[in-house]
Amino acid sequence: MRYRPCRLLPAGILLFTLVFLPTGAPTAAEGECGADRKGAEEMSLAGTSLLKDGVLDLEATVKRFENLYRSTSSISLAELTVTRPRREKTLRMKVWTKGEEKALVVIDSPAREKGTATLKVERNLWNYLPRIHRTIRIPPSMMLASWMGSDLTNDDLVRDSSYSEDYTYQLTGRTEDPSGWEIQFEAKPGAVGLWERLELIVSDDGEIPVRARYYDRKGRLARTMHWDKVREFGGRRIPARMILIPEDEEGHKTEMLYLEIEFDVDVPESTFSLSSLEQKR
Amino acid sequence: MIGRVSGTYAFRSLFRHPRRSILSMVGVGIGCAMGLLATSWTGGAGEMQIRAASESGAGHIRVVPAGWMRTRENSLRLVAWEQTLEEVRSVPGVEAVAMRSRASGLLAFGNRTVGVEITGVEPDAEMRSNRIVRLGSLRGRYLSAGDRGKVVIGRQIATRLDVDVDDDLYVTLAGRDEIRSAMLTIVGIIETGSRDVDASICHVNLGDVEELTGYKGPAEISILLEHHGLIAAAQKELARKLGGRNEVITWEDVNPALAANVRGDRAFMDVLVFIVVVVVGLGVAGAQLTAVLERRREFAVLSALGMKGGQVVGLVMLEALLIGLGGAAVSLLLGGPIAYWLATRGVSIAHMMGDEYSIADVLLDPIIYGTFGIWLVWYALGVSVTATVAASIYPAWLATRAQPADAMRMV
Amino acid sequence: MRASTLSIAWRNLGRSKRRTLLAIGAIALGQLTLVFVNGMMAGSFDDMLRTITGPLVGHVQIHHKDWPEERAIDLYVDGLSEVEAEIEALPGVETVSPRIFSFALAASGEERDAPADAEPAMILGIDVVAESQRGGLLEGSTPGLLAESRSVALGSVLADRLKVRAGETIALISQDVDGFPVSDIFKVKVIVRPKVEVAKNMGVLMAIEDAGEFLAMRDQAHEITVQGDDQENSAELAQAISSLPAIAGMEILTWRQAVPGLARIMDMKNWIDMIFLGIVFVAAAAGIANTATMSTFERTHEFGMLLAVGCRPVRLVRMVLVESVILGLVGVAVGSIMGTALVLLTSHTGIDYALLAGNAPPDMDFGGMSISYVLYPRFELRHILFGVCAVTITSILASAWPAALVARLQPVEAMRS
Repeated sequence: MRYRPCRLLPAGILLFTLVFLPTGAPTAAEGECGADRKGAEEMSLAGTSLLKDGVLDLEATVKRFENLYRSTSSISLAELTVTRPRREKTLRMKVWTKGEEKALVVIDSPAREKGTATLKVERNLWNYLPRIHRTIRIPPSMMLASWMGSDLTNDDLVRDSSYSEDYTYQLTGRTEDPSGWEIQFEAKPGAVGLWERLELIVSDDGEIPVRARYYDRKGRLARTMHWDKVREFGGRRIPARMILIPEDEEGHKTEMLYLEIEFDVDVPESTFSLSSLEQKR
Repeated sequence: MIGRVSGTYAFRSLFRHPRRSILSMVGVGIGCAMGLLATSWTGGAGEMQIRAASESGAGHIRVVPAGWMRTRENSLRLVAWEQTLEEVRSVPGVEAVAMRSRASGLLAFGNRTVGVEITGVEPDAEMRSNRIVRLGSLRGRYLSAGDRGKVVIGRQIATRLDVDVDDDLYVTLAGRDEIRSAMLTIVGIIETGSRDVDASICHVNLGDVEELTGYKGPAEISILLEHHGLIAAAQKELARKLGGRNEVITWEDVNPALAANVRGDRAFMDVLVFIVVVVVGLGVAGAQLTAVLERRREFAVLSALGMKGGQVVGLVMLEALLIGLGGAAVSLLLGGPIAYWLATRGVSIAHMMGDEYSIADVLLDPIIYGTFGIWLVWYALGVSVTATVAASIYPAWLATRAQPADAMRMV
Repeated sequence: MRASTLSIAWRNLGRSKRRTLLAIGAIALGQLTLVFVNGMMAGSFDDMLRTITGPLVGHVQIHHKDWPEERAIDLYVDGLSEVEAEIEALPGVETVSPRIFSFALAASGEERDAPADAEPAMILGIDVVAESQRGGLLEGSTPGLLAESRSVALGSVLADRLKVRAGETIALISQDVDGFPVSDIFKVKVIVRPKVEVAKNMGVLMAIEDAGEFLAMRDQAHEITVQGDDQENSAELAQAISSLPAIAGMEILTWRQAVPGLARIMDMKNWIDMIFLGIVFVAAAAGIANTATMSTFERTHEFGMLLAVGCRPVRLVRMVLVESVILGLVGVAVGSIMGTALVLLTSHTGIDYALLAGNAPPDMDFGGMSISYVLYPRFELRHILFGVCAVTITSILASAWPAALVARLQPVEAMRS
């Protein structure tokens, strides 16, 4: 009966919500990325077609895919649904983000969790429990907990691998079901990340991802991600819903549905403070 | 005058009754030998556990950053580690030195994740000083000096992640300034047979931890001494050399659970050894009493001849002393070889322990080597002589009470 | 043997009271030592056995077959109430104790200047009544302690780290059995120091109903320990349980199978104790033999006289043998009484050998459980019987051989010494 504390901790609970959040790209100091971001915005805003002579502009498509939810700051309303063999649960939450380092999540429903909030500022994480009006600090070492019970990986959380940089990709052709273009990504040697291979299917116009299959480093299919419910949010036309289905777990599914998103909106610094954590409704 | 008379008589008395003398000495000797063996065994059993703890990574002594004992924080690092390392090497009695650092993180492959404590090591030094690495059955190979981006994990971890040698693991950990991740290729999988140990092994090169966490230098220097008896001296010497920079702790501080276990076992066995010594002492007393009782006529004769009470007492005590010395010699003759055999060959308790060779996260080498040394001689002399002489006090007093008239009486 | 031999032997013993008393003393001491040391070892063994097969591991354990390896929250035994009912219906079952384990983050719920730091903790949902008994996790506490809903007992080390005292509240954040985040506040009723290391360092102990409620495991448990009336019957009990319909598909282990490492450590201690017993016996025997042999040789003159007046050597030896048998029996009887008395006395007061280990040592760690330094010897009839045989034989042999030697001497020589 001996256990190690650093194994199997559930700190990822509210963290896994942060995974799907719109987060900012690195600051303008990294010129190239700044240009990309701007480029993506321009592209989506201007509605420039990704097709050139009926063939997909691969590089542009991949860039757009990467920057789909990126923004310097955002305010959004979303529903996270986790499905398990026995039951399913949906959390509705309001989210504020600024850059890559700051995020505030406040849960709106169900009633039992209402008012529970999580604040992340750089390496620090705090959790507010309305039942006792107390804030708890979760030390950084516990932030990196095993994601037991969640379908997401720490790769998703950290999100420091870039598809365009760490993978070589090529267009493999058109697909029928679902209809679109298939792009194969293969990890470059030395790339840091969980996935050896990705099969991404984007819509006919190249703008919306439809389905992605993730293969682990042994070439086994590990999970599938679906996107649907395309809507316009603040001038961007993007899927409102993401569904993640792990491969070897029966009846497991994680869904994120965006109800509202405001991109690049001015979010005051004071939002990401402990007092804000305790008061936001 | 007393001395000379008593002394001469005592000697001659012993030689004149060889059977009695030898019997006494053998009796004392056997009992004493039992005490010797019991103590040697106890020492050996305790030593086996200390060996297990110190050679399973704790070291005999360890240099850690100030404050580590209280908080056990992974992020603490040694101050001026190069200089400290030199000072460590200059301490007499040092046999092996291993530097390490640790970081908590997550290992992932595909959908599976496992939380681990990653240990950064110097592969060669680790091989020498950590038996878990040396004796565990290894699939693949252990780390080599120049390896970067390579990892050796325990079998439990490999099973949980469903990976094998040559697979690439994705590691994430909280570094100094930020969360960092990297890929680590598995070069070896260790299986020790102990589930706990196998679930905790995750070794990378020291340099990798440095790079991943951003903290420079090692977090600890573990030191194996030639013999655990040198611990106290080495600790003091090293602390003096370090002069307040960093802290020197012992394996007991590192693994207090095992230390308590060793102490407890020791205490229990000490009680048993004490009982053995008491039994020996009382047995000797009985034999001495018997001897004196049977020699009542002899003492009566001596008294009739004019020997004074003090001389008789001196006589009996001296005889006792000689028997004691003889008994010590016998016990060394009998017990010595057995203790030697115990110390060199050792007794393997492997068949008693079965497969599980680990207790409290240390790997046991299930052979008990009895302790052996010059202490045996002092012990034999001490127990033997003390027992016989102390046991002869009452008989000596009795002997003085022998009336000359008893000499004439027939028993 | 003629009556005369017996009466002569008897009179011999009576004539030299001191010698007789000495011999009896040596034999009694030997027997006393053997009985006492045996009692000590039995007591020590008992203590360990009781700790292991107490509510902690029990005699038989039931869990999901993958649980020992993975320890994941969703590897549970389902239909708990039915399983419990069926097991309790079996003959010889004394307690059925289910448990739930789950990792969590704990933090003080009290008002502080800054947010309290969360620490890793383990939720232990237990049967409060069963665990309040001897050897249980809540040993020494009143069962009604955690009767109030959402009240917990904290392990002392965890309470220290959280800086929480009895009467205060803590917040627990965890994931329920389906992986959904759950959090709630709990009232700390008492701080405990259980024998299980992990419970002391990280344990948040609560009634299993509360844990089930919190983690959405209302009719499930991770581990069920069953205690029968005697741990010797563990295998039969396990057999009986495995044939119950509600248990199908679960893993059923006897305590020896569940904690083989500990079982082996106990066997090893048994062996080592026997070796020590042997050492003690030889030491005692040496004393007895020394005394007996010595006194027999010292009577050479007397024997010489007997031989001179016509006593046949065989009769002489027989006489000595009878004497030593009487001495042996009396000595063993005395020693047995004294030894038993000593064992019974110390089984009440206990022997605190912590004094030898230095002042205030922490409890010993024995495979994750603490064993105390106080020993309660146990009395067993067979300890006495062992001594009776061994000691009597020793004293007889120790007298017989010198007697035989003397008997072969010429009477004149014998008288001369």
